[in-house]
Amino acid sequence: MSAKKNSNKVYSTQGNVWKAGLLTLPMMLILLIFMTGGNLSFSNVQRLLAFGINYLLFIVSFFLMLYTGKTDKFRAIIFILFAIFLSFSFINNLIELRGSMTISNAEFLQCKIPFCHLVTPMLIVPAAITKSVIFPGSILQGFASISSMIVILLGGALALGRGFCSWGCFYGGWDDGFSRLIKKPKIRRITPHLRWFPFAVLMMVMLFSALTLSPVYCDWVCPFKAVTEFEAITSVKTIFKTVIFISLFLGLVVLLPVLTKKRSQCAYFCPLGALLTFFNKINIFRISINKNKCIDCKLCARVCPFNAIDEKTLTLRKPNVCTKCGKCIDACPQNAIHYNVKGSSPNRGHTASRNLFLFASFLFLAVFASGSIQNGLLQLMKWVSY
Amino acid sequence: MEAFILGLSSGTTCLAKCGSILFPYFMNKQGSVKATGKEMGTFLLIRFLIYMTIGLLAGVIGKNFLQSNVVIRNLLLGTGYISLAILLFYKVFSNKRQKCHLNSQIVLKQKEKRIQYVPMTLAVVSGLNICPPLLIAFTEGAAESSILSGMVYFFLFYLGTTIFFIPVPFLSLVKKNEAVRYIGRYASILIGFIIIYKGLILILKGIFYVS
Repeated sequence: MSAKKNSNKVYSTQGNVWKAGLLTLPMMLILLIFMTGGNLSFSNVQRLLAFGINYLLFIVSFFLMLYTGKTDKFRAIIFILFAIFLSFSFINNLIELRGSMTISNAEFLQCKIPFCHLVTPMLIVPAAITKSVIFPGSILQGFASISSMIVILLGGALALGRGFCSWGCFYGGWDDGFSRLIKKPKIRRITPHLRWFPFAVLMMVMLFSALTLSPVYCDWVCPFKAVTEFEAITSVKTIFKTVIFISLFLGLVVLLPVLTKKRSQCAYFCPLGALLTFFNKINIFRISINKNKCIDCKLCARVCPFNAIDEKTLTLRKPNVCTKCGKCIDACPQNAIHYNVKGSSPNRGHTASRNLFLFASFLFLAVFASGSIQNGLLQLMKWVSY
Repeated sequence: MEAFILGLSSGTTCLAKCGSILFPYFMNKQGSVKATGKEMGTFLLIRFLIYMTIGLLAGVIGKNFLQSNVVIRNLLLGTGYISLAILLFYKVFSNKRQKCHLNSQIVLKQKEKRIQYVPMTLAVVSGLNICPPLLIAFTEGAAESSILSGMVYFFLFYLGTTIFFIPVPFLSLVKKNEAVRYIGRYASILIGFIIIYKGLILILKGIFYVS
């Protein structure tokens, strides 16, 4: 027992400025190199300011995660800013280039559509059958090329499993943000079986994409077209498509998260999330519940934004569709829930496991998000200065 | 391929409902793999013949009654699609615990000791089970331009429903039954929305053709 306590105490950074600072140092160095590309000169004050704010945001967040022992709220700040700034700068660029958010036929034909990771499940069957990529984008060149986005997704999936949904996805911040607007949920009771809906969506989009050789999720139902780009309304079909994606955005991304305090789009609709659940099986990181400490208060089940914890998973002590956001860990009054490395005992060494997980996941988030946040800040400053 | 997908979506529900009855029967009753294979083969063959007969009927009805007037065809089919999609939603949401109707057949035939006819009986009952996906497939088959097209549609629908019967004896079905059942249910809901969209487009085509 004392060896277990000593092991956790040695690695614990909670309440200890020096230890937290020491562990933050490697992150500072890596992010400095990555964000500057090794070049510390800036062409103007605005760029320097944008970089400074961006860098401080990440470093301070990571330090506070280690110092306070709380994960979710600091993760959420960056995650939500990532989503907002990415959409903001994306839309800004579109308006500068095209004058609107609509995609033209010319851009389809020239394969100039930026690739988004949500398309990935739809590529698998057609690629296996026809050995071609059914998305009008560039394989290797340009912004958000197909190969680069798939490599990033694969890396994130292998490193974090479904943790990609809480530490990598640049759309998840939208419903994460809306789910935090009110203090208490208006709709409390949500059937846990809804967690299987994304799997049905996954099956249908994969099959229909194979049937039509087109990315049907993007074409018909992706709600995030409302904050990126979409097809111009030119026919009855495009009217239907527009009504669908706007309704889904307003319903699943805005309204339901506000009313339920759950990430409805991610938990109950996203097919990529369903696919990434399978990566949870091979991922080394997981959330485990210490049955000796757990008093069955079910606070973790109430706060979990994905409904990953219910009676069954509490009995098994293993949440299945968990995205490792850390909200249950922060909420547990008995400190019974922890990040854990697979194969190690859930009752000991969890501090080291947490530090290891945080380092990997935060680094992934920072590498993925820092560019978008910095660009967004820069564009915001340009707007303000005009 | 659309028929195949319709079969797949209804197949998950059929499998979750009846898999735990059908497969313990097939796997436990006879000693040898050859005998089990023979029973399974009989079951699948009889189902195939029934589905082809239904496909033929759909094609005949479609060719003789639905090809003459385009407007009436579009309006009838469109209304039919939407009504069947609503029926599908009703079936999905209303019956929380659906019991497999095949159970009574197995019990009855076991009592009568006519074991060699059980697979045939199971196939007939399973094939003639009037469920919303089958009705939707019938409507789609009737909408095809020829009798052969209608039969081909039903063949693909059959393939979609049958594909789940092939690997299941090797899977731990009971353990995953809840997930399969709910995924099947939700897939049916999604198919329902697609059918509603098709119905609306046909109705609009019918209306704007008149005007």
